[in-house]
Amino acid sequence: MSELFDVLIIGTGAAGSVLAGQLAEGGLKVICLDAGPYWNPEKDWASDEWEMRKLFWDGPRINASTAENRVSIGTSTSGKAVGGGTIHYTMMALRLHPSDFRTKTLDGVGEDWPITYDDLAPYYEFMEHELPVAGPEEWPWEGKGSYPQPEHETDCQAQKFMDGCGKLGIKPAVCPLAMVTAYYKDPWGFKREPCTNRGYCHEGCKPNAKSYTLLNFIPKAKKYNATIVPDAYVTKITTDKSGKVSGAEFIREGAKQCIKARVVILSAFVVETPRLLLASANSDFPDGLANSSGAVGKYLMVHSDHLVYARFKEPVRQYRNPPTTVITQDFYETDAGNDYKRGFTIGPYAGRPIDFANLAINSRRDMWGHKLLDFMKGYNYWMRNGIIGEVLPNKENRVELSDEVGEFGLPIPIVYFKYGDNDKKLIEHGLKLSADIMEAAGAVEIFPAPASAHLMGTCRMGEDPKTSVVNSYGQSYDIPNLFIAGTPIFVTSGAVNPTLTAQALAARTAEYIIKQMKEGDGF
Amino acid sequence: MPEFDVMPWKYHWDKTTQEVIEKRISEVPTQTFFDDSELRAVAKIIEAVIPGIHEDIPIKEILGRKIEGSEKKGVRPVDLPWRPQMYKQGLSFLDKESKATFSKGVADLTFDETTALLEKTLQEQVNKDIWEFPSDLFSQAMIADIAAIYYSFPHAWNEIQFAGPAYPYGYYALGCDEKMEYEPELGESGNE
Repeated sequence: MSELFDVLIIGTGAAGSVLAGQLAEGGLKVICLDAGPYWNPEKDWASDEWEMRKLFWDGPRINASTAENRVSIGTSTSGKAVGGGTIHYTMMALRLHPSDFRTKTLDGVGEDWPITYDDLAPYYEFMEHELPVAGPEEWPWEGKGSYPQPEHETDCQAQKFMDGCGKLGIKPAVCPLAMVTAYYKDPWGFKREPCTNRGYCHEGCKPNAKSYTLLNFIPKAKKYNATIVPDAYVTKITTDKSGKVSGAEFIREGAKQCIKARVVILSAFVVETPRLLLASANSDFPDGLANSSGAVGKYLMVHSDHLVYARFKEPVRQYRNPPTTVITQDFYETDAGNDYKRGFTIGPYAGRPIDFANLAINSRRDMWGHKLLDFMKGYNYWMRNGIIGEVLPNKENRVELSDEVGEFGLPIPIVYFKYGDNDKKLIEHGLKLSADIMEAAGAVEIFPAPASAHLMGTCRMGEDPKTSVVNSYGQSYDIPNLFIAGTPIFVTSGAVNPTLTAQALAARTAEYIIKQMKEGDGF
Repeated sequence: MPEFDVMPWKYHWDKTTQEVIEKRISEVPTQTFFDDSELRAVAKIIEAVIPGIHEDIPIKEILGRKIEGSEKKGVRPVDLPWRPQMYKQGLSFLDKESKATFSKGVADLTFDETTALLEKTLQEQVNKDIWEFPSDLFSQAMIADIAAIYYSFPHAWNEIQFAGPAYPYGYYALGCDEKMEYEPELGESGNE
């Protein structure tokens, strides 16, 4: 393509889609490349766990986290499609708390963000309305959102959770979810029916209740003439003699192609983003692009997602409804009585049979044979309850390029991770509380299952170019026309699902880019 | 436990889901990844992981087909090779372990012997001269793969009384004491 675009967006997931829609609406000439397909939900998606594994990122990654620190870096953490991970995410649309932006000042751990909660609040609200989000009127904690759709109906497992919380004096609340729960006049012409509670949220939402970006920001981008190119695998970000980025090289239908743009936004999630920056090293940028700080790939974070399996005498039927409809954030903030800083969200987390069996198998050594069959015959009597726990940033937790070469000649990324002492103490407390709630609700058998969810960091924002990769807008300190969007720019993890924050940050970045392109020097 | 059958509801499922499930239960995929000897060994392992598995569920063929396309795809733990090599090498180590323990290969083991062999690998009580990577990680990955395929079959959904795809009709009776007509009748669990 010889055409010059204003903006090239690499990756059209949660953040990339928002940028595409907002920048195109702002009058910029936008092109988006995504490594995955452009799905037709009605034709391509089935209500089936096995079939819908095709939604996950399937590119090669090497996991060098040790057995006791084993974290998930593939499958449900990352999507491969236009719409990215929003197609299979759990929809939990929670805001960070104000304290999350100031953990170093308040608690002496982690790092302060270069922005405050108040800076991001208008963009949270914008996202909650654009997606839209369904949520409660009552919210007992910080980070209360503004929800245009009524809260989702709760279910039996939610009732068990609330019963347990009630007995222990813990406050539960209905979880805000990015979805439609009532009549919704869709501005993009889709038929969006309220949730049917069928429960296959991780398999792509065929009823179009979920607010995944194929239903909102991608059609918005197309309406304003953005070009969306699926099945385009970017292999290199190119630079020019002035030290700016000039576009990208990509493979599509077996052929190498190039694209030129005034601004490049890399929104390829936490592993592929540093992979591309590092793999695009050249004589002007020998350590990789945007990496004078040496922080590209560093400060990788997950959420501890440790949970307990809990069996009840009476049926729970966890397969109905979205995986999580209620939570508590009573343990979110630092408590001087704890032996750790920061905290977690707790809530039940349902699984379809494959997910339910596999996490149990991976959590213990005896879950096979007759034991597995008997356990699964009790499927309707079990539920799971666990944490989304804050994991503090640590420079040693990182993504690097391995010596192995994968598809299209790109080095395969390798991920190193281990939990810190604070993380471990927080997990121990979270697991105990998760079990206490289930026991109070009447569970007759409980066992723990270690797990992790979400990926954040590796291109963190900050005020100091020596220790951070980008500023608060995701703009590279080294290359002013290169932006990074999504969870890679997170400074700390918080203890909520990161998608809404990634999207709010993207909306803020879009506003900044439009202003600079129209009124400023255009990078 | 009351009888439950999810399949009569297939006529209410959307067309794509119907086709996906119909294909799964009616077709045995052709696979070329496992050779005959490996296939016989894998069949023994499957029987140990899912005892009494219904003969119409072609796990080994689906597994072989899945592995064929998985070279340098997805995530590998740093201490295991990529999926295809993990299976080839792992089955070879398992066979050597079997011969060292029972004087015969995995394909010729009894159910109890296969179970004992898998138990050894999961406890890492194996011959370190044989295994070039952790035996527990290999066996656990294999068990998870087998279980994932098994629980993708309506036969298994019936066994665990899972009400299946439920689209487009969904669930609107969400309370603990409520259910829709296509959900199983359930009493209190008997195995407290």
